[in-house]
Amino acid sequence: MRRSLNRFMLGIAAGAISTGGAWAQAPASSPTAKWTTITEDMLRKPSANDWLMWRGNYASWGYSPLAQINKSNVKNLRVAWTWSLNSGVTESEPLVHDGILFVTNSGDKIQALNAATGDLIWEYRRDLAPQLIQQGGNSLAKRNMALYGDNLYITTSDAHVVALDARTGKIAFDHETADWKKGYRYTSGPFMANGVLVASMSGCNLAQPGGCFITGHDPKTGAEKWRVHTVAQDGDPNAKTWNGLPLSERFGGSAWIAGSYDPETDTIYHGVGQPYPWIAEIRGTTPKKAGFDNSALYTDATLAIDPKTGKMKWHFQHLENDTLDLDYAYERILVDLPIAGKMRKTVVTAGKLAIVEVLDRTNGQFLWAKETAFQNVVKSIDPKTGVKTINEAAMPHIGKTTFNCPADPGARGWPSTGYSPKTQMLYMPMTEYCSNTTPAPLEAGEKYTGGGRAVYARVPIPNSDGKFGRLEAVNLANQKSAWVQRQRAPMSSGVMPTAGGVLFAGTLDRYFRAYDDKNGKVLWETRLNNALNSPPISFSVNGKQYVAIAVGNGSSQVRSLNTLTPDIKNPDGGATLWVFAVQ
Amino acid sequence: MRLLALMFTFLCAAVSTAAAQAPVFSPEQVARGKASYIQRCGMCHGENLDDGDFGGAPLRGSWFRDHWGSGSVASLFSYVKTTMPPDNPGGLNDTTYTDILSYILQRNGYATAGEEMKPDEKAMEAMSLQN
Repeated sequence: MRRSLNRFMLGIAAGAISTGGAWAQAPASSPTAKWTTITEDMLRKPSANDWLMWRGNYASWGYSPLAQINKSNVKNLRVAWTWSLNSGVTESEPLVHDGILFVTNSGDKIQALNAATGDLIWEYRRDLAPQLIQQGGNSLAKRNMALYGDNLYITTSDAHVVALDARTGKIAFDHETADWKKGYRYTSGPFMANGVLVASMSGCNLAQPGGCFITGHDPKTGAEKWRVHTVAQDGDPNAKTWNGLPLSERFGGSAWIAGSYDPETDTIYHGVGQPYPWIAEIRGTTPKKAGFDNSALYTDATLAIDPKTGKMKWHFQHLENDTLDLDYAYERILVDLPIAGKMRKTVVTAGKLAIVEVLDRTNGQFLWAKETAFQNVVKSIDPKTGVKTINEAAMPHIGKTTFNCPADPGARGWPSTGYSPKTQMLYMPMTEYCSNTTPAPLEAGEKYTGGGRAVYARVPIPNSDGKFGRLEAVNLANQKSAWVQRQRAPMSSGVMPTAGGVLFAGTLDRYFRAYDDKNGKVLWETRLNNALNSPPISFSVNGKQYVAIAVGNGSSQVRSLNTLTPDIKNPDGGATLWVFAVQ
Repeated sequence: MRLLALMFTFLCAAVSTAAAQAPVFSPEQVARGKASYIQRCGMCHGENLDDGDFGGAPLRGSWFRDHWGSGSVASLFSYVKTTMPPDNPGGLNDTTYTDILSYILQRNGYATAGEEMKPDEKAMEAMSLQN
């Protein structure tokens, strides 16, 4: 009792003098005793037993090389252990190294757990301002974290980059990147690229002049080494793409999903979100003014960045002058593909339109594109340049209501696609729907304070059969759709293909499923306690393979998808980490 | 016939008199409503009621006036209760809906009074949003 009280008092004292509280509980059997320092080589060739980084590898495949769980035995998957998380938005992709699982809870509570048993090793609780807690929502969630050396790196809702000792949870450094009171928020975590810690800023929907940015940091101290602006600044030749708007009126470009890294080209590949306000006529980039461009760079683009200097090597804009909130912020999958008889180093992505777009990652050259889910925004794509011809009838205009597909949360949202080198297929979790869209112009004399300035009334696609969810496999080698699975419930989790030939994915109605990666046949399913809105991961401890996924309600994506299917009811609370193994 | 006409006139007058009443809600209710609004509505409609990020309609200014300014509090309450939040319509309790409504009305320039607005649709029918 006295010992517990002392520990409690110590915890209070530690919490009082630091930004947050760390609490350690490391019994003799704790896997921290077997911890090995994570090197750059380990990040380049991650052990199949670990899940060392966001999407599992530098190339963002979201693929597990483990094959113990396979098409034959996946039907025997059972719960190994569970762990309750803070209620709130849960978009958390855990990390695993040497038998320790790291998970982030809503509200920036980080926990290290014994990956085989679910025992708590340590936890870190950040003291966030009451205003942030009250706002709740996406800002309190973090999609990912990073591991390097002996540190676990996190970003916080109050716009800091923090290093925690991965063995104890103690703060190694705490670096403020931006002022959260100005609306800057981290919603995704940092990632590593050739010894540089990279953090991607979001929250730039609140009229921050000059938009968002990506920063490179010293992983030992947190010191900022470089900053790449996602909205062209004055002095950048691409500043002229903002139709003559001064920097103070160029908004948006949240970089809200972590990027990828290619050691061969020594390049970071990163997506950028949309410009703000969404409606171009309100933003001031439509109509186009003589002498200016109005594509609004670098919104909705892929950026290729040198990790050591922050120099932008090239950019490719997927959607010019976006006026429908059609993000291209999502993961960049790096894969070498046969194209016209030659192997090409490519970067693959899809924005909210769910069009698969493939670029040469050495120079940004457009290679090919393929449409998947229903959309009516892009009429055609130039096969040589990738330039899109837009369906003007779907473009919103002040004083009118227009019809566009998909609606604002996207035919694919943030839940990540996955790539299997065994099948050469890209697996895409999607939802098909449309919107009657009405711009909401500013009042006369009113200053823009943020937001999209459009009202979206989400509706099914024309002649809908009532099925919204669409899981599709696209063969990247032959550029054809391999299979499609559809059901009423929107797809709401990220996906994970495995070397065992099993694809894991989840839906809004709480089902976690395993599919045959070659034909989409459902091999196993179970129902969990809340919406699946995180990517699954897999790892192995003591020779046993596990599959884990965090569930929870409340994200803008889950809530938006639920507006299509209010008949699907999920609990407000009850965020949980589920871990499965074959019994 | 004359009697019917007289009754019609009387009824119209009664409705008109009833609907002429300004909304009644308290400052405490506005404070509660603000907290609930930020938690439950802010993501789509924005902290400033017209700067949301997920397609919610503006809840103040000309958009509000054009859509709700000629009706009663009851029609607004009924709409909000049956359609909001859109992922879980009717998912809040009536007192919370009423508190949130009070906050929205206050932000649109309607004055608070000493009394609380009750989640009573009949009483709300008498409260006009015309001003």
